[in-house]
Amino acid sequence: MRRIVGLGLRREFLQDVLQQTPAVDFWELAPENWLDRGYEATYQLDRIREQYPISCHGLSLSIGSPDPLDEKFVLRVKEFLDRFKIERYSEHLSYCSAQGHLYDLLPIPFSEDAADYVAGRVRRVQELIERPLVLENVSYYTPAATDISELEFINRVLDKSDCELLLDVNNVFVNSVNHNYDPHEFIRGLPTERITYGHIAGHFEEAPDLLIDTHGADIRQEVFDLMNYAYQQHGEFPMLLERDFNVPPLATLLQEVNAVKAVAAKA
Amino acid sequence: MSDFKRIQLQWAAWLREPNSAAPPAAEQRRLAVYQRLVRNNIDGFIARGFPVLKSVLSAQHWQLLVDDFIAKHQATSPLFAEIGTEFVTFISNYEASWLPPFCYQLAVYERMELDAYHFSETCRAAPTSRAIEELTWRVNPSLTWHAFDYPVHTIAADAIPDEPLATPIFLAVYRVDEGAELYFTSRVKFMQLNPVTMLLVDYLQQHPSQSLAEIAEALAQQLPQFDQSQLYQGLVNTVPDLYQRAMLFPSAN
Repeated sequence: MRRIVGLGLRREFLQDVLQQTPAVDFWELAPENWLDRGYEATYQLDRIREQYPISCHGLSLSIGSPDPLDEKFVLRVKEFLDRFKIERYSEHLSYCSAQGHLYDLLPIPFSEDAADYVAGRVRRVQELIERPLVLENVSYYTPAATDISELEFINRVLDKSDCELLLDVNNVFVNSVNHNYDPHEFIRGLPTERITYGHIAGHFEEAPDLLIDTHGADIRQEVFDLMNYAYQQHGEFPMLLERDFNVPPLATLLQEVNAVKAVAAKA
Repeated sequence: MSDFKRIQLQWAAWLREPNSAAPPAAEQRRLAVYQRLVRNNIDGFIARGFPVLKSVLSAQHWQLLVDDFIAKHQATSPLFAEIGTEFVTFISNYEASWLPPFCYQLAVYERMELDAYHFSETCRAAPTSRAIEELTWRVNPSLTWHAFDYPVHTIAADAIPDEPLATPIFLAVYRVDEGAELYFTSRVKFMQLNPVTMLLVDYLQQHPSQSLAEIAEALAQQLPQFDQSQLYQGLVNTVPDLYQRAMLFPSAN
């Protein structure tokens, strides 16, 4: 079976993509970075879409926020997905607002109540967007509450909301170091049937027991190995290479995309 | 309120005001990562959106301003590109003894550039072979203008105004789309309007698709010191220039 590997689309190399149309299976972008960004952005995105599939990976849905769900925003995202014929909309199992936006991803307290609250909001989002919502396991640097484990929290949200899982293998690795758990056991504990999409990226080691999920470096071998392990456990799913800081030239990123493909091929 | 929401609100309160709010129960070194991520991210967006404002404030005052924005402003927009709009709203009500009085107007002016760039429609003046007198006109749809009490377009670290201007100036910002297909470019342009041009732009924004004769008739009522034929002749002289600058477009060919 042919492995599907995509790359995060960035404005730094957008012109190169338009002119060179490199062999990439799909591009991923954040709707927050393209909504209401002017005629030129819409025009460029139309050109990309003519030649490639696109996935959307949102940043500001704030699915776990104590603030009310911003339904107007959800509908704007839906309009954007429909406008560019984008099927997949993924987001973070996290929150970025509480009495107003803080524009960064914060860890939801791991409790049954919180999981049930999030699941209710996920169901509402799925109704509004008329698509499955794909939620990503996020990296975090300290838990906000540990009434239940991270794995129990994720599984409860998935179960009660009937949504899909974006398995971010770099986040599993970062969290396993930061919170001292076995990443293989964690991956084994996720429901195979809900994993429809994956992310892989590099991270930064601030201290031996504190990794920061920067998306600013090359993928580490341990993370490639975890991706392999996830494929062995759960079968193949499309994988996306994220790079948001220290963005190298497109040609370098395409080499890393090929490395992800090669690792996947050995699985 | 449920326990988890209480924890979230405590996190948010501490992220906004780390020096006065109680920190969440967690290892300080790990919490500090969140403090740093939130601050660097928001500071970065504002610094990139308001480079002139940042350059006229000391590093310490800039820090105070960003800290107070994070602490006191409840941002409602989920879009990162609108953090700057949130910041303009914040600074319109912000009072501090050290803040120069022109800062709000400077922030408005700096934001106009991004708003023009993000305007959703195409901003292209179609070529026309007809005489300007036969055409009706509209304003470039991306154009915004404001009256300013300070020369915000010339403010810089070494050009800080001490006092407001004797009479306000009118500054317009708009976008022009040029070129073809892949090499299409969008450029934002800046223009100081004289009082008559300001009235012309204002009138056409409210009444699009007017001929020069119709515009002259309307302006004559606002400018009794001129008669209508003088105004008409003035339009015949200035509209080609405004068209060439892509501030005005023919509304139909």
